[in-house]
Amino acid sequence: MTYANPNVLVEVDWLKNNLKTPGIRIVEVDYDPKLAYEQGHIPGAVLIDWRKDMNNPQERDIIDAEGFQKLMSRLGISNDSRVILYGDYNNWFATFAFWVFTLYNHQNVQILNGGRKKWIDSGGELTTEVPKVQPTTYVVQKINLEQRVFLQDLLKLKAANPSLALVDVRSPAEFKGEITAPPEYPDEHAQRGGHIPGAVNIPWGQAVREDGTFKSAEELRQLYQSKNVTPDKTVVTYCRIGERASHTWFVLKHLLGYPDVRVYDGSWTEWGNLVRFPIVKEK
Amino acid sequence: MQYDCQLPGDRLYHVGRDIWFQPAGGRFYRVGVTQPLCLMAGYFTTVRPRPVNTFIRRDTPIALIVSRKYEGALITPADVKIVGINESVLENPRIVCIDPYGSGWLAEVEIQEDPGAAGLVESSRAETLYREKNQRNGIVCLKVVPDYSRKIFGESCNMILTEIGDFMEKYVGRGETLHVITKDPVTEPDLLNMATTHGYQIVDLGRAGDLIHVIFRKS
Repeated sequence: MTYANPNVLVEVDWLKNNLKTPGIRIVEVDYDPKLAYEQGHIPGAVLIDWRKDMNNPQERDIIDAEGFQKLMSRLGISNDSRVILYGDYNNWFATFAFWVFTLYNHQNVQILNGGRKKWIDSGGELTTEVPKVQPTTYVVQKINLEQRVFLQDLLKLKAANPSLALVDVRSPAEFKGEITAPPEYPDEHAQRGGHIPGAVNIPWGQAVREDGTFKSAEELRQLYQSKNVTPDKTVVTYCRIGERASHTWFVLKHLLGYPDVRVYDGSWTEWGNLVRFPIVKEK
Repeated sequence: MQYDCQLPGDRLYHVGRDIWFQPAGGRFYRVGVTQPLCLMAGYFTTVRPRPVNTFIRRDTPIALIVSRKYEGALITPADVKIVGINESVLENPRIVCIDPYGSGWLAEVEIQEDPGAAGLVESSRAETLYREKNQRNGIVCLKVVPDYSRKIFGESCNMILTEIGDFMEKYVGRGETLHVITKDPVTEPDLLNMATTHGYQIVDLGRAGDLIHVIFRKS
């Protein structure tokens, strides 16, 4: 069994031999660039600072189409560029960026399998030099909203679709309601701990191996099907603020080829702050 | 509290790469990470040096180093050959930041070029460069590397102390430490009282500018 869409991944060895191939733009996606990109990145890679570049600075939302166009222009990315995204911690934030790229219908975007960890572990070169890029003109031609759900959509889906597979990809401690955020990110809290009724807990990190690369298609299929997350269902993934959910969305949608997978990026910091909304808390 | 971290005088440093080279005779050196990197990254959970006898070009990794908030590399500023690795840090990566200049060394290397040409400098020069770098990165030189770090500000002293207490209760395990960066209206006596009341040990307490830095240990 192979991945449904193997073209969404590139391997470290391939990238080492193609750093200077024309038409490729390598992008590191970081939560904290001081601890990653600024310490050393793949030669030629430009930076997406997840907090500043991927999110609307005022409202709680991802960047809009105009913001995405400006970002692509600044990073030297054209509509036909081949974009290779990578980052730390098993491509946690890189897959969120992948989700945003596909939301704005960028056609040629891939993830570096294993991300920073695999690159470093295999002795890949790192530089602190920031590349100079030529700004481009980028036009968003279509928005693929079907890969995203807002709260009202989720409520409708839950009401109309009893077989909806709702996947909570946070840690077991967050799922049970023992904590409301991982200790490294404690400022992004909800008022209450627990999970959405009907959700199953499949922590996002279970989809990757120790070296940061994705598990085989067969291992992934077993992981999700053992919790009744099957391709015949509409699947909604959520976490705390939507970034880990996009990692599982990537796995289900692109590596396993599930036809209908969506990210509820409002996630726990929305649901867990709502007044009189049901919460399951385990003891 | 100050920006001058420990930089022993018996070795060379590359401040941009946060690496030290301690002479071990001829072209051989022992290498490890500097204290400021530990303060920024926290305790490592994985340390994986490249194998012995590997030739490593400058600007490429000698080792993968991973903490709870850092997935990075110890990068060599010079061409080197690895001649030995510290097996004990593979089993217990925490040692690296407990004793970064002693038992926490990572590898022994044979340098293939002139250290000066590779940008390695003596500790006095490294101190100046680190002072600038630490100020830029907001690194304050603490007595120990904390397990957790939090900025906690608030309208009232009680609000700040409650938040510290909640974090210590929920996240900090026995023997672990929490570094809190805070400021008025909480004061040093408030923090000392809180430690006494809850049975926490204060490992470090001081001011840098208008900010108070305190490290609590849960005993």
